[in-house]
Amino acid sequence: MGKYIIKRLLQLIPILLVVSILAFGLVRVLPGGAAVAYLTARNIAPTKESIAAAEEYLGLNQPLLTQYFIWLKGAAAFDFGVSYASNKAIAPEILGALRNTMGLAAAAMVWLVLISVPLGIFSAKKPNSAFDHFSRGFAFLGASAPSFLVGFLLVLLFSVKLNLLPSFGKRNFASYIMPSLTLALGYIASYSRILRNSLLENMRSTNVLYARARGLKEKRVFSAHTLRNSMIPVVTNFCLSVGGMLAGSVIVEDVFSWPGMGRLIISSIEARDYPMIQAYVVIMALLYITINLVADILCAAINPKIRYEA
Amino acid sequence: MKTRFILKRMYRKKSVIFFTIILAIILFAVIAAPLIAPNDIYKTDLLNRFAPPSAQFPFGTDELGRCIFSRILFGGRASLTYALIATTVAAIIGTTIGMISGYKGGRVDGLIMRICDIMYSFPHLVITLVIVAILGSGIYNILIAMLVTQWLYYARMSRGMTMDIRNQNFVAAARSNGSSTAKIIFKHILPNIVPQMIALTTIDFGHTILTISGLSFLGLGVQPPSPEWGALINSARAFIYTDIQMILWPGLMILLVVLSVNVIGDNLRDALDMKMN
Repeated sequence: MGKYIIKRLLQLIPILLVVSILAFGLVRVLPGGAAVAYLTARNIAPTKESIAAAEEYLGLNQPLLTQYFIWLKGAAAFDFGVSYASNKAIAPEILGALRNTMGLAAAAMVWLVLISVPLGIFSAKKPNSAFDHFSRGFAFLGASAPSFLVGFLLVLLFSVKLNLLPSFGKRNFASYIMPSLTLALGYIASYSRILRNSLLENMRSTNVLYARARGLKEKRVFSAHTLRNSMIPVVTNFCLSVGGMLAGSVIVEDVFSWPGMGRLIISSIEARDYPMIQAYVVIMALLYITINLVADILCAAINPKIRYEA
Repeated sequence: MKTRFILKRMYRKKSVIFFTIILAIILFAVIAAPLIAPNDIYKTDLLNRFAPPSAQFPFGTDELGRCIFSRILFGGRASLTYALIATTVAAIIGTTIGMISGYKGGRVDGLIMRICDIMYSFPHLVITLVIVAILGSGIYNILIAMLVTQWLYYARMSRGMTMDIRNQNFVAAARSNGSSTAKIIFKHILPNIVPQMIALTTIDFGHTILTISGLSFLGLGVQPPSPEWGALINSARAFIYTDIQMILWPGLMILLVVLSVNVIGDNLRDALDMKMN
């Protein structure tokens, strides 16, 4: 197991290198260059003098490689420089937003487990029953509904008609309920089906047959053999969707005015605040890579076959 | 013959027939929009704002007195055309790259797979947003961004299938005939993977509609006053307390189209006995 983890960690080095070069290069490929982008964001007319001053200030007249290493050194310490738009340090702002988005994703995960696991298990226990058909229909609906529609319908029902939940912002615990449910819905739909199909497949496998032949109780066969093996695709997808949720919360955050990464990146794109976008890319890539790694390790822990084949 | 067999298997279920009809109706309405639409989509009438549904305005009017029904019809043209362009181009480019990668193997394959690895280390939406950040918002930049991320799925799948086919006798026979690589790929390999690629395209089409309308909803895609389903919802959100219809109808259209496409795609996949992931 230790060997497997080390191998996976080593594989990350080239990917991290490429990510850092891409994120660094992002500002260099801008039309007009970073200095003009900086001046535009700060509402200063880009004259010859102001461009020269901005280049001096941003360190753009140093050799490219030097600039890259200075940037990399900063990024390694989570120092992404100063926002073009607000002229304040980027790190505190983006980490605050990240915390809010992670809170939202965590709440969505709770919905996900609470709803999709029972849906999946009950559908698999009686395949092609009325319940299974209902859950299949629900899965299609959940995967097809645009999250802004779901979000607004929830707002209409729970905020406007029933006046139970706050319609926007992050104020208290109740603020989490609607955004996280909206975020989770699409995932709930696909998970319950993945779990169901995986359970059905494993129910027919020979090790389950053997467990039954040994005279194990049906409950034990289900929990120790069927369910355990069925969890592998679920865990992989679960971890992947954490990354997907952190990025995919953009629309949900927009609908509910949630002060997270999604709102931050949209306002940064509008303000052409490139250092902020750069920081967003680095943090998202780091998170996504870490989460994928954790997913792989978890799966290797559940399934020894993966450990030996890798 | 084979096509008929697949279609027959696909349309065993009533739900598939039902959603094909729904999709056909919506497609017809959207294509025939200039003939059906009762009003000019840009004509404002400030004396007739938020009008309730009437014979003249079947879904009522919006905040500027424009006909919601007509705007939804034309909005569908935008949403569906852009999604169709994005998926088709991604499918063609991705499948071609995948077939070359799978057939050639070796260095070409290694390089393409490394590019895939790097792309997979970002969530797709992040790549899309970054491209929009560099190029600026607007529907054409969104299409470019979609293309950059979507080709991957097609490349990965067609590569895998090509690698299975590559070693079969008929490909070896074509090679020993002296057929060129291009001829082998397009005449011998492509016909064998087309049904599966169509199933993938169908499912991807649904995702693409959701992404494009989502980005337009965020104000990054189709810009007002041009109608597009996501953009319509974005401009209607300020009036959620006064007139929910302006959000409801375009939202429902997106839902119906994506749902139909997903049901059809899913059953096509089942009919082909495909295993995704």
